[in-house]
Amino acid sequence: MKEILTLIQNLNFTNLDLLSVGITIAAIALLGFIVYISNVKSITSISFLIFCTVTMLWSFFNYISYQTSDPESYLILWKTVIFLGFWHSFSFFNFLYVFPRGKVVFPSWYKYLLFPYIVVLSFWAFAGDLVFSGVLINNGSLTPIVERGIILFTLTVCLLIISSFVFLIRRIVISKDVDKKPYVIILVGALLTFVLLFTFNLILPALFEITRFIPLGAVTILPFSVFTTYAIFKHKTFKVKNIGSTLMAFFLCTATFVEVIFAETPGQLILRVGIFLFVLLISIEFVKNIFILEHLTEKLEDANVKLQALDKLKSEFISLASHQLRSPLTVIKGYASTLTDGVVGDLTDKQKEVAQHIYVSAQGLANVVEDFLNVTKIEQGGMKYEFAYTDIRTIVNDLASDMRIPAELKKLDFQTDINEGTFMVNADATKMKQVFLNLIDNSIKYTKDGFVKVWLHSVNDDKGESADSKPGLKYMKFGVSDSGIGVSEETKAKLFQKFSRGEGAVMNGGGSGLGLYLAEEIVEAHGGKIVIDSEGLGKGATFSVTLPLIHV
Amino acid sequence: MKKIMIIEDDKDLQEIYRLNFELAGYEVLQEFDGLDGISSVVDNKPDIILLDVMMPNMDGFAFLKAMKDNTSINVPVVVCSNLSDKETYAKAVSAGAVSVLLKVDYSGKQLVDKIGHIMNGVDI
Repeated sequence: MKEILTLIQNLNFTNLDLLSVGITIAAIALLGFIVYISNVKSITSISFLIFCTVTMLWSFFNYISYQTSDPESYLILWKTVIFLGFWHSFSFFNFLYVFPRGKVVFPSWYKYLLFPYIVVLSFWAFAGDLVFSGVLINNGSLTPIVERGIILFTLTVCLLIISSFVFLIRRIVISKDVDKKPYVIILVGALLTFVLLFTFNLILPALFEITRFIPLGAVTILPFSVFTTYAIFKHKTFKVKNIGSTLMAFFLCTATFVEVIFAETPGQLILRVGIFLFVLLISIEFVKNIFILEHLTEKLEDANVKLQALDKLKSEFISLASHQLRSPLTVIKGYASTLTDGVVGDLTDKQKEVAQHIYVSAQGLANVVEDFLNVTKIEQGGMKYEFAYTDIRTIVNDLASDMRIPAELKKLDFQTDINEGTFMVNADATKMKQVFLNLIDNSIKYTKDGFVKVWLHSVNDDKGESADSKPGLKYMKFGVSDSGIGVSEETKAKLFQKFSRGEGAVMNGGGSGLGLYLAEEIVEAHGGKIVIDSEGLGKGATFSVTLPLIHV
Repeated sequence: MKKIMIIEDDKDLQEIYRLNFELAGYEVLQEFDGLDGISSVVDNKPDIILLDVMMPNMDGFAFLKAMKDNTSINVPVVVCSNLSDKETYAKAVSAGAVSVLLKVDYSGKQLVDKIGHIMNGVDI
């Protein structure tokens, strides 16, 4: 053992052979590291890592077994190479058996026959005389004494390798065209590797007596490792910054490992092994986290894109739905009003009433559509107001005359108390009209009998003090009072939430449940206030909107 | 007698408008597509046009553009649509409409009153 360590420590690193073997080992280690890190849980990555590790060990020992002239070291090294040779072909077989699955349940023959067989044989070859029993010294050059066990070794290795190719080819044949690519790439890599192996280790020595390339076994494995890594990563985008971090971590591990080899005392060895393991663990965590971060970022970006598309789709849908709903509603309102206005002849009072019901219902539905559209705009932050100097009085008057009909259809006493003068407010007329409409509509809906009163006053502050026309008046107050079902104290705040209904909501159908939510949004955007006053259930209610006046 | 041309593909709406405007004393010309509208405008020279936006062969905006390109025609156009988005409104105004109305907001009589106001130069 000590001789081997000395041998390793005295290796001449400027030797071209050693350099190429060294670089190849490093490259294979790196590839194994990268593949493993990218998916630590997958049996495929683990198998690839194992394969690369065994390859590194095999390559290394294969090389130095040709560098020693000490018979004892020579024998041990050669036995090690055979030992590793068993595991090398087995790990190759194992990798191609599991690729590309993430999880595999190994069958009984694998666990209880093949694996123990390899264990037994490899240890027999290492510790016993299965393959090599001694060393022949022939004019300063050493050759091993080969036993019959070499046949077993060769057979085993060949069987394993042939089976691996069979797996690969079978996969290529049974998979769909689009899935074939990775397998084909691996197959090409494997073929290249074996061509090189046979050339270096069999054809050149046997036919041309060129044995010079045998120690460079490592290089022959390189094509397979490279092609396989490429096949595994083909579908993954590999960001440059990740490669940098991975390389950094890898070199750190390599450096601490090299330190281990050059430890001079047992104490130093233990310390350096400790450091190496520590660095290795941290590196794995570090690189793993980078990959996880990148993966999550990608997922987030994808989700974001999908959400934006969905948002756009929702907007377009609401737009289209609104238009499609409004078209037939326009026709219903049009024909109903044509009846009630006597355009196609006079109606009896009863007939007129019926037509009015149709009209009022259609109008109700149109309001619901309007509410949906507005709420969508608010939710998407796209509610834009077109402020302009507006005379609120005109809006209230128009509404009062429109809403008289549905009120009187319910046999309610419809009253108005609209002060004289102009009520100029900086407002979006359409939206404000919608607010007032919703309030009057609610009143009518929730009043079984009695009255509904629409009023408009000026006040000199927004606390609701009513006053007569005085200079310096600052606010206007619009209100709807009724003798309806009223509002309890607890419900007052809740009514302004989306889709909320007051008590007795079950009594009435229709309505979007969004009216008050919208009203509050719109009124507050105008710098105003909306208030519910009610003495309780069954005692009627007054909904009022206060808005700041502008003086022209 | 004032001539009103209604360019609208919905047959029901055309009927509703015709009944209401004829009662109010208008001569009503009806076209069901922008393409027919163009030639009809040239032949009949209405006093005001009610124009729908969503029509199959030539939509409202294409009609407005075609009318603009033919500079001899200068009839006020009121765009009537059930689209209430800002883009439609802006497009209509920049294409030369004197007013943009949301169809569903108006009953037959209310539309007649509104058109009357527009023709008198009130609330454009």
